[in-house]
Amino acid sequence: MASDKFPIDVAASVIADISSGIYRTPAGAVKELVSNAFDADAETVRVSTNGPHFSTFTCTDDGSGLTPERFKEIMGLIGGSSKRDRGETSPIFGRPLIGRIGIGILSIGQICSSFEIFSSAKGSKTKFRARIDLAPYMRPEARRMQLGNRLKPDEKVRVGEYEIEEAEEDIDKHYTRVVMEKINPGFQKQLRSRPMVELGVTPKTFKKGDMKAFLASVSKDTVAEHGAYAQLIWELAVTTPVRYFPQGPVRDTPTLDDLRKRLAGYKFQVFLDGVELLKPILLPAAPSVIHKVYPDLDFRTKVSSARELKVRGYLYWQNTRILPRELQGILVRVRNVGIGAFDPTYLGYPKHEGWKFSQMCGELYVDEGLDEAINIDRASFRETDDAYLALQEFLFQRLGKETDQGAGVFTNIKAISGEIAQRKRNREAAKRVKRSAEAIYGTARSIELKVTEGRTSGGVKVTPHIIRVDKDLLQDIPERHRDLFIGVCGVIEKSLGSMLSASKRRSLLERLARLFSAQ
Amino acid sequence: MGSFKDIERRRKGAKSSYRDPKKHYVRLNGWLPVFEEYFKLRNGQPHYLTLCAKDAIDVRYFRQKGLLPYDSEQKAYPTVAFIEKDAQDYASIAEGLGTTKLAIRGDLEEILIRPEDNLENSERLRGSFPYDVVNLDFTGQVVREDDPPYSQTIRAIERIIEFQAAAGCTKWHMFLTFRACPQTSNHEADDELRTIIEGNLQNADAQAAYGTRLRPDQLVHEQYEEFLRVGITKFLAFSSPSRGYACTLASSYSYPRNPDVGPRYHIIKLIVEFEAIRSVRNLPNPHQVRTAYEKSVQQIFRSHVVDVSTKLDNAEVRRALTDDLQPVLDELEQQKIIE
Repeated sequence: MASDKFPIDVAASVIADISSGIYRTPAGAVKELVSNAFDADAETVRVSTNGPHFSTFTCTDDGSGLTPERFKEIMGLIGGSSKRDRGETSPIFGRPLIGRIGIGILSIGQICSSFEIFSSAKGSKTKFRARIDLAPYMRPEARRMQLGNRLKPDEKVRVGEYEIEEAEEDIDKHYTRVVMEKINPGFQKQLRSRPMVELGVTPKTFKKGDMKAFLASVSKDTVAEHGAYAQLIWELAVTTPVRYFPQGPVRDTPTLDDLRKRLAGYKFQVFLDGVELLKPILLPAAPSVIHKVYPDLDFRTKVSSARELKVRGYLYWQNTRILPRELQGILVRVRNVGIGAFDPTYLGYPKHEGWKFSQMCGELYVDEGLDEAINIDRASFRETDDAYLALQEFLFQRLGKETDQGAGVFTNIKAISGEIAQRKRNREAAKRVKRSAEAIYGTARSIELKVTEGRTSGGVKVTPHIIRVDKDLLQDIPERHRDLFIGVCGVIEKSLGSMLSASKRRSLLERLARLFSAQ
Repeated sequence: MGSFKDIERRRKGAKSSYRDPKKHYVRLNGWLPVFEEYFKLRNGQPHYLTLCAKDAIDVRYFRQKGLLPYDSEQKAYPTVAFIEKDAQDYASIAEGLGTTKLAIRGDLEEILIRPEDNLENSERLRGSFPYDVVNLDFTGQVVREDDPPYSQTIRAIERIIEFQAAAGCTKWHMFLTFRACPQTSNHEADDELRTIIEGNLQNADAQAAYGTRLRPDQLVHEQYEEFLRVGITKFLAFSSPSRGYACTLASSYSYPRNPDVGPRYHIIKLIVEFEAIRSVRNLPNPHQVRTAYEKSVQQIFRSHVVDVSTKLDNAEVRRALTDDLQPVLDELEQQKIIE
């Protein structure tokens, strides 16, 4: 029996809601402006926040700019066209385009309710100023009016109004400048927040003057405890496609040169309140930290006939906790832009790996195939998407599975940790031997602590470089005390050997052995 | 608010003037010594409020001279406050300077005169006082044609003096820059200023100090820039004592401008010192107020303007000015401020 089909409609309020707030953090909203600049082939982006008041935000880039006509086209139907209609890469620097559905402009709506855009396109003799007002459409009563409105086919939802004026400009000038005022109170409040003060703790100070100083000052704890402004710096630096430190992300790793070169090759600089942002990843923090890089998390698979997933990444492990805590986990970058933060669950890795999670971090650059899995907030993924699932499976395999190519990362880390523990034990044993030598001979000469297979009369023999103790004396002494016991035996033999008979010495050592075995 | 085309025309015109050696002559010879004084007086922490315009040349210049504290670790000017009306210029300044003590995008006059319409900015500005140096470069006229004689600009200046007094500032300087253009001046205001000067000249000491200058009614027609220099400074001298300050004209400068469009005019730059004559908690003393005013009037009448153009006739002076400004221009070039 044929069944009837009924339409499924969306109320206008849904569109209005999306327009007024889709990004989770202040950095998320600012990141979209930076991404727009990246797509526009800008070399420099300057953002000013007017901190600590945060009453006016500005963002200026030297990208290709917009003509008034193009601006009107964009504003006429937000999300109605994609930059990628004209190719997958930017025309000048060949950067992979970040923007996909053309709603980046809405990010400003989250920061403020009215703003001005000034722009001049390369090769155009005209610049324009557009004043955009979203306020009337963001008021609760306006929302209520839209609440039950059904959209007719091809109907648009008004989310704001703008006025535009033009003026002359030099033909070689190209830029876009956004000046945001009437900053949303919630946005301001979030940026002014100082969580530690609210907890009654003296806030941590941080240096923002250059990224190395910033990283050093937040690397003792968490970025969050330095306040929301520090988090803004962190998130923007982590997620935007700016370059690494010359030595980053991991020192002395030629195997990661391609990632360094990739980002440096984009020639993209972002300044926040005068500070150039660099990726705040420079590991290990101290040269003494034992670490290992897994530089070849490369993966390519067909998700469907038209969709291929292409990944280039690395994992890093060190034998101490990675700090700041925000650096622990894996960051997925789609077209070089971080989606959300470092994920400490490794995309939901199912097995509990305890301390290992806090000692690891990594980045996965997904160049193709994952765009459609990104949620509209550009900070998370649809976790049921085929490509996301493929990426998840790939990561889980690399982390946990034993394969013909070798052990999974976690097994490998466990093995390395075991070796490290053994080396540590050996070092401690050597130290004990040295201390014994010092006590017995007066100098830390090189000696050996040995076990005599047979039985001697006194129980211990001391020669210039060897202290031997009868095996039977050691049998009940725990492994960890044996070196110490042999050392003590050496001291007794050396100091009392000439004063006591062999049997008395033997008896003394047997009692001492009982004492040690009781520990 | 003017049309975008007008704003752009004005911005383009203003841009070239910031680097003008005449302007820099005043920075070097007039402003710099004042900064040196406050640098010593305030243990290296002079507080500075400026309408610095797009390139913020004054801020960069004083920092380069080591007279304005700059925290390179935080990329911050902890004692600098700026206010800028134009959105684009505000962005250029904020993006170029980094963090400052205070940054306001808005019209200083509006913020000061109509605080009820500018609540947040007004509170922030008021809370930021006192300052050691207040640099008010209005680029335009102190009394515009369409203003009443007691203009918004003059009232804004008075409000600043009040804020300084309320914040307990005992000594400070104001750098005041304005335009003197007889063709576009406010004749009603000119008449009132002339009458006041003529009133002052009834006093024998003031007349002696006035010297051989043209009579006020001639001065206003024949040497308008000098008329306005004396008239505006004298207004400050009148306005300050009732707000707790004696005012001295430390120095003043003038130079002509010949724009491509519109009439020729002069730029007048005043450097005015304010010294407290009473504490903010004490009652104004009429005798003290009158004495301070009369003293200021004589000092203003005795003062002479520095004609910057004449000074720049000397090639050596011009070269020295260019060399002195060059590091600031290099910094701007290096910073690649967009637009």
